[in-house]
Amino acid sequence: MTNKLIIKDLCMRFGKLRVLSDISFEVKENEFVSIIGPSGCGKTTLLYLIQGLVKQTSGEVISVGKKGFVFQTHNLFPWKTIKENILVGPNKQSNADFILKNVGLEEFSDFYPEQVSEGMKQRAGIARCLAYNSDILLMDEPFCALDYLTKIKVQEFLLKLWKERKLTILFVTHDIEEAIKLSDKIVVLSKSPAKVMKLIEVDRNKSDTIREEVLNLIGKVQT
Amino acid sequence: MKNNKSLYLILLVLFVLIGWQFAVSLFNLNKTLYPTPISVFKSFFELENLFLDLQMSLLRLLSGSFVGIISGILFGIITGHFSQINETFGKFTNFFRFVPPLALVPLFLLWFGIGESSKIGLLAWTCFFPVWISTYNGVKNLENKYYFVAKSLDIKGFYFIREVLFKGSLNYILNGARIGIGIAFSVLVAAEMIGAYAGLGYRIFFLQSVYRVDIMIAYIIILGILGLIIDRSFVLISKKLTPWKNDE
Repeated sequence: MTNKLIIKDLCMRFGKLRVLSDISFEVKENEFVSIIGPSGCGKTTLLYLIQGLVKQTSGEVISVGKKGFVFQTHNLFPWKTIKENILVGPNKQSNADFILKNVGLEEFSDFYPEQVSEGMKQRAGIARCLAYNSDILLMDEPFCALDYLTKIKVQEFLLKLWKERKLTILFVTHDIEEAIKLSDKIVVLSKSPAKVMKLIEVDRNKSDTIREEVLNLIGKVQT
Repeated sequence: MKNNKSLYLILLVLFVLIGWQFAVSLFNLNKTLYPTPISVFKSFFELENLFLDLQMSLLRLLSGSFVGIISGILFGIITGHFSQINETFGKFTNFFRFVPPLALVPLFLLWFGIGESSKIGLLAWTCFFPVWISTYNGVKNLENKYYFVAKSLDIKGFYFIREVLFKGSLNYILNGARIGIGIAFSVLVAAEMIGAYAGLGYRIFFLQSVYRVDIMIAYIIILGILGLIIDRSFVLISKKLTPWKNDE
């Protein structure tokens, strides 16, 4: 399988503060990779750098395909309806109605974000990336604001979408269970300045071992 | 509940009118200077020039406000988005915000003559500042996250200005325009008193010179009603333009 994302020696400083230090890893086509690390270690910054929302101090990001970003708090424009939000941007090629149906929001297309639930907003955020024809999704703790049941539903929805559309996903989370449940691979980051401590291939039959290993790694840097 | 409120309002108006009528008779006031409500009511049927005056005033108000609102929005978006332009042009223009528009009436009359351009220019000037400041605040208050969304979706150029900056600041813009039109309305009447041959302000000033206080009061009441209608229409239009805010 070809690489869709190559992160090479990525460094980031904010003034004198070093946030990321020589981050390198790869994400293959149709792979689901989670990034996990202690809070405040720079996971979101890393994702912003990969998307090009902020400029890195040094290092390189190579991507093959179109990247789409799913934000922690959906970030839908409140002044646009769900359909308008999905269709926003000048480069639309996909059929909005098809995507709305795909994400189960066709009945809510004319609603404003404030009028729908948090889960629906997050699905609309994902749909916006799909309408943008993204095949690489960068997701920044997208489900952290959702209640337990909604979270399970949206996670299942994402997995279905991932398989059907052959998406490549880079997913930031602080939830180990979520990372094990969803991913093929977990990138464990150290505390700031973040480095890649370990790349773990996920075998769901060995969830307990993986959980323990991640906890040990993160626990070590937090104490 | 709503019916009760309307009833109280009607009762209050009646009370004021009756009080006014009694006060004029009781204190034996000069009826030319202090006309009774009944004579004011009768004068409503003598308003020969009302249509022309309304037409002139509204035309001036609408065209002046239109120019002021459009230029205020443009300047607000530019100064809000480009901080370097705001540092120079914005700060320079800000000085003029503190010049009372009425102080400019004689100057505008000299420069642009007694015709329509001086009044439209003055109203545009008046309306410009509140719209500019509101639009500027709207753009400045637009959260960073929307800029990130725009960047992640390749939204830029005119599309970005229209769909993100303008629409994201629309609430602020409409509030500014409402304030601007309100001030422009007051300035309009004053400007017409000083240099015009028709219009509501001119007529009130003219009626003073011929001691027709009854018709003057009728005109003042019409001005109040007109101001109310303009403001209410503006609120309705704003609601239509910002449906996502209607629940508030």
